[in-house]
Amino acid sequence: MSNDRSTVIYRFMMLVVLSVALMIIDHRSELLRTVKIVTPVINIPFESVVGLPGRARLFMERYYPDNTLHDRFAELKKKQVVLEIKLQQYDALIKENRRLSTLLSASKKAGDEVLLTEIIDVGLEPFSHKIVVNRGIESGVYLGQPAIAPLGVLGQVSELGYRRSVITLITDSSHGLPVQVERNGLRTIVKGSGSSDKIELPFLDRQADIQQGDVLITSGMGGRFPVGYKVAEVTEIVKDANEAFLNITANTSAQINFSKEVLLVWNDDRPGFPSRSSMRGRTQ
Amino acid sequence: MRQRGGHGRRGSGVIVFTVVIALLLNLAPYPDWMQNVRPDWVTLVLFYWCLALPTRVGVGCGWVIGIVLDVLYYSVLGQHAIGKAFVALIALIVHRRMRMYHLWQQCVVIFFVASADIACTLWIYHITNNTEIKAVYWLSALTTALLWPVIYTVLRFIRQRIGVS
Repeated sequence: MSNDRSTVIYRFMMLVVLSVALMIIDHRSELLRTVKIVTPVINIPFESVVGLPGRARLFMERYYPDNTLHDRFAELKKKQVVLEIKLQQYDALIKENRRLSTLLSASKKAGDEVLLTEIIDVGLEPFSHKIVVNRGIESGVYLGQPAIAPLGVLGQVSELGYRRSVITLITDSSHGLPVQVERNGLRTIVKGSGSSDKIELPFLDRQADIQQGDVLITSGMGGRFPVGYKVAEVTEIVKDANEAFLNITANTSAQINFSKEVLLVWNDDRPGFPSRSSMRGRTQ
Repeated sequence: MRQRGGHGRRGSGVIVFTVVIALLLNLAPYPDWMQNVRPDWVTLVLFYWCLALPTRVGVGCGWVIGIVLDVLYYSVLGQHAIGKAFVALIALIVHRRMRMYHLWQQCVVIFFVASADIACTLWIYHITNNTEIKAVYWLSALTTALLWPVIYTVLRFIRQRIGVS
């Protein structure tokens, strides 16, 4: 009987060694990347079953609309008018921008190329600040691609599969993002805090010109994120006399829980990176 | 041997089916306030089958289930595998003692096993993703333990009905 137990423990030890080896290969090298592109074949059926209740609710809402839906419809209609008006202004601005760009002979484009993706309704673990979207390598999505929600920056693509990609949110504590203060152009880096809607600014010293309510936008430094997308709003600044740096927290602008759609942006400013059309050409 | 194999295959179908259901329940989206208390159905089902059929379901099965969970959670391959293999290991070690215990005493065992599983998974996630480790993440071990009597009763009913041995 004790012999039996020792074989089980021995087998367990072997599996631990195997897992550690697998994790190191997966985390540190590219060897398993092709495998990971194929694995969503398993995920897709699971996720479609798990998403059924949500889809049923949407279906019910579509065929048995209630008053809240009418209210929302009216609200959205109002909003759309406002947006259309703003859009006219935007069109004019784009034209002006293009004219000025050609004058300056700069190669910058006024608008970025985007792809609309849908968030997959699946419950990952609470400690992983990640979401899954329904587009992947077949649409030319690339690793490190910026993901943006209607209200602000969401994160970047950290894992790629067929018809699936995983987005690491800017709130994840492993995520850093170069930003600038919209008011005065002060540049810094924000770090995820690990809580659901807060980020930190650990690298500003006590003399820095920053206030509560300052809006942070992407600075485009590092070349991964395009310039000018809203990231967060400063909510709290703590000055500790004993510390050289300020303790600043900011609330993220992208309301992850309320948005169902995510834009993936092709950032052509990125030096030496193939644009979307050439990526497409290669994959097809 | 052949006859037993044929019988076993029928039983295996039931085991796989319950594991798949558990995986689906693990993946199901929960409301926001429940995020930190989501029970780990897979641990419960795996633990039950290890107790009931220690000769057929063991650390190897636990490890494979863990790898499937890694794929479904888009995590580093092996992250959940160690934890689930550990759950199976403990179940195999204590399966004789567990038969003497009351259901609530079994719940306590489940609580510790689930806690160790969470610690393992979270620690690996901490190494690979530099995340903060918070005490609230262990709340789900509590809900997992509280669900043990339900899972135990349901699975035992299924097992006796279908005659998996």
